[in-house]
Amino acid sequence: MKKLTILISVLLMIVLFSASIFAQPVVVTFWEGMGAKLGTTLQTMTDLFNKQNPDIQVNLVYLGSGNEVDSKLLTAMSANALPTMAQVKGPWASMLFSKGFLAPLYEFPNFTQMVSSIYAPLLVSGTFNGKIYTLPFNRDIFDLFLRPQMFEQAGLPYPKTMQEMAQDAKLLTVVQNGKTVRYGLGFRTTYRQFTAVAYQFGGSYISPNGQITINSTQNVAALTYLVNLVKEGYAYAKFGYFDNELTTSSVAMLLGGSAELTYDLSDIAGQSDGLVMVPIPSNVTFKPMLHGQNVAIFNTATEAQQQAAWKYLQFLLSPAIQLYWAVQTGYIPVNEQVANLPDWKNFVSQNQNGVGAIMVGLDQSADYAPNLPWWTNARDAIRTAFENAIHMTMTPQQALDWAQQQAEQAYESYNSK
Amino acid sequence: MHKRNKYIIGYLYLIPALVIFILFTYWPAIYSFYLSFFNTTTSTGHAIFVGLSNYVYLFKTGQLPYPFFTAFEYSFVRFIFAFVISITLFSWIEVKGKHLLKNMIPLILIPILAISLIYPSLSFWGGDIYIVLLWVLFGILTFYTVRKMDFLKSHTTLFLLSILGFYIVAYYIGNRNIDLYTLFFKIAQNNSFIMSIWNTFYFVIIDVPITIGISLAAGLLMKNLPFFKVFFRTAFFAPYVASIVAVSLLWLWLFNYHYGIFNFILSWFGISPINWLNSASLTMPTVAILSIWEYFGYYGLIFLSGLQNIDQEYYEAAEIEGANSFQKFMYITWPLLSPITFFVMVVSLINAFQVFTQVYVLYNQMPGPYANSGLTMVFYIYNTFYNEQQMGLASAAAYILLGIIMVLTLIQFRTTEKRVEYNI
Repeated sequence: MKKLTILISVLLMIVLFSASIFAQPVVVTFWEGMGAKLGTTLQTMTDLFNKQNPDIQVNLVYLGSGNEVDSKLLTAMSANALPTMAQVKGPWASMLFSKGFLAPLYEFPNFTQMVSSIYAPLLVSGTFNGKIYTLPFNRDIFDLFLRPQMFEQAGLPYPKTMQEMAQDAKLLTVVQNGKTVRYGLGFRTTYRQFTAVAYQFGGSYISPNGQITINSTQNVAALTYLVNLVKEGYAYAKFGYFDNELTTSSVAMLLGGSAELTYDLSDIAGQSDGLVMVPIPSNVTFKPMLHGQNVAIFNTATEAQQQAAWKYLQFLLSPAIQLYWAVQTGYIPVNEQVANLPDWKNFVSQNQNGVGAIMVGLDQSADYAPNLPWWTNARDAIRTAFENAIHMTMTPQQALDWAQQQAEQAYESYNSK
Repeated sequence: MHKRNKYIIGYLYLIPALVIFILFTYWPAIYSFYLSFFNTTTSTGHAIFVGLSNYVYLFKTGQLPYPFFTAFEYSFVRFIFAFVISITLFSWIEVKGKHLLKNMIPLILIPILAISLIYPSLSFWGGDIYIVLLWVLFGILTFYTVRKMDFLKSHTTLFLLSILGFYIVAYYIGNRNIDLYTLFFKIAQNNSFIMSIWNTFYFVIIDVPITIGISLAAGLLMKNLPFFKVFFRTAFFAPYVASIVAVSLLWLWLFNYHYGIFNFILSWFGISPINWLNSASLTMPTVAILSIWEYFGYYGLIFLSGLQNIDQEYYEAAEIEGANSFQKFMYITWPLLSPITFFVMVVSLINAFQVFTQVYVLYNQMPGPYANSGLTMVFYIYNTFYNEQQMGLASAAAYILLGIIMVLTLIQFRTTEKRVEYNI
C-alpha cells in the first residue's frame, strides 16, 4: 500500500512538472543595439509586453552599437544560430534577404492592417522585390539644431534655404583676436550628414534607371557648399560627436539626426537656452533624410516563435507604444495614428526643443541608403570622399569621382558571374 | 619493440593538443587561404572562384598622375646624390683633411659635381634616361674611388642614416611632386589597402624602437633600484594585464582636447592644446603612445630577466679595470643582452603589425578621425570582413599581412643573428 502511494505521488509529480514545462512561454530573442536611455526605454516597453502576454517571453539581448549587431548576425548566419528577431540596417537586411533568412512578414496575420498605418516612405527600406520583409522601428530624421538665443541676439529668422543657412553661419560666427570662438555651423563628417545635405540640393546616389550617380552635379554642388563653409571659417567639421563643443557654446547651428536630442545632445537640450530643432533647409524640393533601423524576424526560428515575435512587433508599432517611444527617444513615431493622438499634440506644443519638426515632410522623405547588398562599400567610399574634401586633400569633384569609381567596382564585384 | 611502444604512447599524449591545433588554428588558416581565391559576396548567392583577382584588386593603383618609371628615375637620382655626398663625407672623416692633394678627385670634385648637377637634373632634365645613366656612372665612379674606407664599414647604420638625410635634402631641392614617396602617397589615397600598409609601417617605425628603448630603460631601472623593486615591477606590468578596451577608454579622456590631462600639462609650459584625436597627422603617434605605454612593462620584465642572467663577475672584472657605468653598459650589458633584445625586437615587430584595438576604441570604431589616417592592415581586414562582408578579399589581405611579417622577420633573423651572442 505504501509503495503504491509513493508510486502514485511520483507519477503525479511527473505529470505536474511536465505540465509546467509544457506551459512554459514561447521565448523570443531580440538582438538590439539600443544604448543608454534608448535601451531602458525599450526594456520598459518589453516588460509591459511580457506582462500583458504571459505565454510569450521576449528577451532583449543588447549587443552594443548597431554595427555590432550586424557583425554578430553575420557570424550567427554562418553558424545557423540566428536569434528570433533583430534590429537590421537597410543594406544588411538585403544581404540577409539574398541568403534567404528573412521571414516574409506579409504572410503574417493582420499584416495589411498593420502596414497601412505606417508612413509609406518608411517602408521602402524593408521592401525587397516588391514585398515587405522588415518593418521600421528606430527611425530618425535629419534636421537642423540651432541655439535660439544666439538667433534672437543677432535678430535672425531661422533659415529655410541653404543660402540662408550659409548667410546665417557667416553672421553667427564670432572671431576674437584672430581666433574663432564660435562657429556658425557644425557638422560631423559622416556619410549620413553629407547625404542629408545632398538630398536638399536635389542629389541622389542611384538614378531611377539604376545608374550610380555619386558624382552627379547636385552632389558635387552640395559637397562644394559644405567645403566652402569650412574653408571660409564659418563651419566646423569633425568626425566625433559634438557634445563638448555645444556645452562650451562654440557652435550656433548643428546638422544632425533627431534621435541625437536625447543622446549626445541631451546635456545642452535641457538647458534654458537649449536647442531648437527645425526642418533641414532645402534648395530644391524638401526631401528630409531618414536614418535608423528596421526589425526583421528570421525564418530559422520555430513557427511559434515567429508568431510570437510578430505579435511583439505589432505591439512595438502600435500607436500608444510608438507615442511613448517617440517622446522618450526622439525617434519618429512610425505609426501615422500617433500624430492625431491628443497626448502627442500636447507633447509637441509643450516641448521646448521643437520636436514637432520630426514629423515635417515625412511623406517626401527618403532613406539614407539604397537597398543594395553592396552599398556598405560605397558608403565607406562616400564617407572617405567627404572627409578628404572637407580636409582639403581632394577637391569635391575629385573626391566624389573617386567614390563613384569605388562604388562601380563594388557593384561589379557583387554582380560578377 | 619496447621502444616503439614508447613512441606510440608519446604520440598518443600529443593527439589532444594536436586535434585542438588543427581544428582551431591550422584549419581556419588553410581555409582562409582557400577563401582568398573566391569572391564570396555575389548576386548569385554563392562564392565564385576568381583566381588571383582579390590579390590584384588589393594593389590596384587607379589612375597615376605620372608613370611609375618617372618617379623611379627621380628617386634614383636623389638616392645616388645622397650616396655620393655621404660617401664623400665619410671619406673626409677618415682622411681628416690630410693628403688633400692626393685625394683631390674623390673629396672635392665629386661633391661639387654632385651639388651642381642635382638641381638641374631634378628640375629641368628630370625623367630623362640619359641623366639617370649619367648618375649611375657617377655613383659607380665614387664608390670605386673610395671603396677601401674602413670607417664606412664599421659605421653602417650611421651611413644609412646619412643617406636618408641627404635624400630628404634632395627631395626638398627639386620637383617635390615627383618621387616614389609622393607617388606612393597618391596611390594610397586612391586605394585604402595601400593606405593601410602605409599607416601600419608608420606605426611600426614609431612604435618598435621607442618600445624597445623605454622597456630596456625600465628593465635597467628595475634591476638597479635598491628599494620598491616589487612595487615598480607590478606597476609597470599592470598596463599589460589590464583590458586594452578599458585602457583605451581611459586614454580617450587623457587625450581629450578640452579636458584631457595631456593638454592641461602642456598648458603649464604655455603650449597651446594639441588636438590629439582629431588630426590625421597625429593619429598614428597617438596610437603609438598608448601602445608603448601598454607594452613597455611586459618587455621591461623580459629585459629584467635577461639582465639578471648576466654573470656578476664581468662587472666586477670591469670595475677593477676602472670602467665607468656607460662603458659597462656598452661593452658588457648590451652585448650579453643581445639574445633578449633580439627576441623583443621580433615579438614587438610582429605585435606592432597587428595593431587594431587601440584604433578601434580611440576613434569610435572608425579608422581614424578622417582621411583613413588610422586604417591599419588589421583594421582593413576587419572592415572588409565584417562590414563589407567580402570574406575572400579580407582573407587575401590577411595573407599579405602574413607575408609582410614573415619577410620582415626573416630579414631580422638574417641581419641580426650574427650580432647576437649566445654565450651565457
